[in-house]
Amino acid sequence: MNRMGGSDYVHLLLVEDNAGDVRLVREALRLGGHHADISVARDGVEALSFLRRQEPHSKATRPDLVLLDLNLPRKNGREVLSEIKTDAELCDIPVVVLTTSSSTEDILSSYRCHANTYIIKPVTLDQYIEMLRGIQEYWTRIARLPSGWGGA
Amino acid sequence: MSELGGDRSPAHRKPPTVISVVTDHLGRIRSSDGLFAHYYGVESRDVAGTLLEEYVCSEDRPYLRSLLTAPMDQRVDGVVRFCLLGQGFVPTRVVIEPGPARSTFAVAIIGRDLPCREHERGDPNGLLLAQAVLNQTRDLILVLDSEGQVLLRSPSVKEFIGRDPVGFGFCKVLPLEPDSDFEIKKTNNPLRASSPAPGNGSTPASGRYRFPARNNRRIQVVVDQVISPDDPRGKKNGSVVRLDEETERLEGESRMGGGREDLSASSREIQQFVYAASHDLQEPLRMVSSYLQLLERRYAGRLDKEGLEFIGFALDGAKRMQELIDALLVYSRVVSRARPSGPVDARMAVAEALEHLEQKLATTHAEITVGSMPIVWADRAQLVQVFEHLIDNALTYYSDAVPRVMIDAERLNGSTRFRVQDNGIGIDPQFHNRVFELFSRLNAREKYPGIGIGLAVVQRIIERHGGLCWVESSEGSGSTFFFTLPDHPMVEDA
Repeated sequence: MNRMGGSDYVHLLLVEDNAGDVRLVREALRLGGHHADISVARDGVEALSFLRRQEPHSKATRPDLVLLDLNLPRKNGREVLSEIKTDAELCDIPVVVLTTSSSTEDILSSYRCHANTYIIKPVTLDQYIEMLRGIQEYWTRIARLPSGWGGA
Repeated sequence: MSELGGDRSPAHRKPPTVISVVTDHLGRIRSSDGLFAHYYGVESRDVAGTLLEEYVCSEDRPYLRSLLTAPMDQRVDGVVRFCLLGQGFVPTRVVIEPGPARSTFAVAIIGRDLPCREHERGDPNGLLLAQAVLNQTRDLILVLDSEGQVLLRSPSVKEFIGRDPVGFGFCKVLPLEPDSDFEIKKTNNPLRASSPAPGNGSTPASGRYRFPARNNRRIQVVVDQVISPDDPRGKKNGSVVRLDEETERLEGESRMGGGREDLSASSREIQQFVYAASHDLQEPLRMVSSYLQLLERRYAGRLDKEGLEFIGFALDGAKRMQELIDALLVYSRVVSRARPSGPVDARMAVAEALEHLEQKLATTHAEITVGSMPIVWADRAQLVQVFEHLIDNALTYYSDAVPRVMIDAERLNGSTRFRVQDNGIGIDPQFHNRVFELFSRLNAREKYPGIGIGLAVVQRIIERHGGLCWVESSEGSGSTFFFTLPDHPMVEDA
C-alpha cells in the first residue's frame, strides 16, 4: 500500500443516521476481511462539524473518503454534499453517496453537486459485503486519493 | 312549392344554392358534391354511406322517406328541415328524380338564403374555424347558442351520447341529473369565477352530474360563457361546455378515451404514494433481511435445525416482500417514466424483447416465429416491455413440449391487433380476467416462479396507449394473448 503517512488504514467518515446501517458497514467490512478506520456522524450537522474540526470534533482527523447517506436528520445529505464541494478546504475529499434512493433525480443532482460516486444500498448481506469490498478496492488500490492513498 | 323563406323583396333575392346528392332507394348517400359536406358539417369522405335523413330534423324523416319511396318515374319535391352547420334546422326544398343508375335517385337540395360559402363570407362567426379546432380534440366539448341548442361539437361527443346532438337542445339530448354525492369542485380559472354558469333549464350549470341514459355514468360539466356565435351583435350569451367523465376505477380510464393519460389529481396522489411507500418500505426491509443473514452466518453453528429453518422462512418472506416492492415500483413507472409515443417498428420492438430474453430462450430451446409486423404509434420502450412480458410468460408456463411462440399482427379498421400465441399449459377460462390483475398468480410459486406483475404491467401499458388486451385459452392447450394499439393519424397504412 502506498501511503504518505498517518494511519495504516484508510479513514472513512460514514455519515449515516441508522445504527443498523452503521453496524452493517462495520460487519460487512469485517466479513470481507477489510480494515478501515471508521468515524461516524449521525446527521448532516455533525458531519460538517467533524470535517471542519469544530467542537466537539476539534481532534478529528481528516477522512480519506466520505460515505454519505442522503436522508439525514437536521441537515440532509444533499446539503452536506454541496457544502463539502463548495468549501475550498474540503472539496478535494472524495464523497461516495450511499443511499436507498434509486430516483433519477437524486442520482443526477448528486453528480451535479460533484459527488464522486453514487451507490444504491444493496439489499442482501452478500451484495453489501461485495459493495464495500468494491469501494475499498477502487478507492485504495485503483484510484489515487488526494491524501496519498492509492495504487500505481 | 317553388318559394322558400317567405316573401322577400326582389332586391334581397340571390340565386338559390343547389346541392346535389345521389342516393339509393333507402336514402343512403352514394355520392355528393362538396357543397353538401360544407353545409351539413361533415367531412366529404364521411358522407357516402350515411342516410340522407340523418341530416334532417327527426320529425321530417318519415316525410323524406315517403318522397324517396314515391313511384320511380316521377319527379317529386317537398320541403324538409335540414340541419345546417351552425344554424340549426333550416327548411329546405328537395327535388328528387330517378338517378343515373337503376334504383338510384338524384336529389337536389335547393337552399335559398343559405349562408355564403366560406370564401365568400370569410367565416365571420368563426364557426368553421371553431369546428376545425374541435375536430382536433378527443375531449367532449360542445358549443351552445343562447337557447342552449348545440351548434358545434367535438367528434367524440357523438360517440359518447350515441347520436349527433347538433341542432338539438343540450338538456334534451343529454338529460343529466345532479350528483349530490359530490360537492361542486371550484375551478381556479379566473374567467370562470367571474361568470357563474347560468343553469337556467336550457343551458347547463357547471357541476357534477349523473347520466342516467348511460349507466348513471358520472360526468363533470364545466361551462364557460362566451358571446353566442349565433348572435352577430354579441349581446346574447352562448356557452362552451366540456364534459369530463368521472372514472370509477383509477386506471383503465384510457380504455374508452383512446389513450388519454390517467392524470386526475387523485390518481397522481396515488402514484406518488405508491412510489414513496415502495421506496420507504425498502429501508426497514433491508435491515430485516441483512440482519437475518448476519444472524444466519454468525450463529449457524449454535442454532439447531429448527432455528435455521425459522431463519430460512423469515428470509424467504423478506425476499418476497422485496420482489413485491420492486414490482410496485415497476408498475408505478409505467406512468411516471412514460415517454411520448412515436412511430415504432413493431418488428424491432419484438427483436429487442427477444434480446432481453436471450438467456431464457437458450435454456428453454424455445422456437419463436415472428409474422408480419407493422409500424405502430407507441412508446417504444413500453412496447418492448409488453412483448418481453408476453414472451417471457410463454417461456415460463410451458408444458412438456418445447415452447413454441408465434407472434404476429393484423391491421384492423383503426387499430392494429397483435397476437402472442404459445403451446404452454394454458389458462382455465374462469381465470382469464384475473391473470391481468396485479400480484395475481394462478400457479404454485414452487412450480412456476414469478409474482404476478408482468401481465398487470402489460395491461397498464396497453390501456395507457388506448388499446385493449385479452387472452384466449383453455387449460392444457396453450394461450393466445391479444392486444390492440389504436392508429395514430400520422401512421399511414403500410
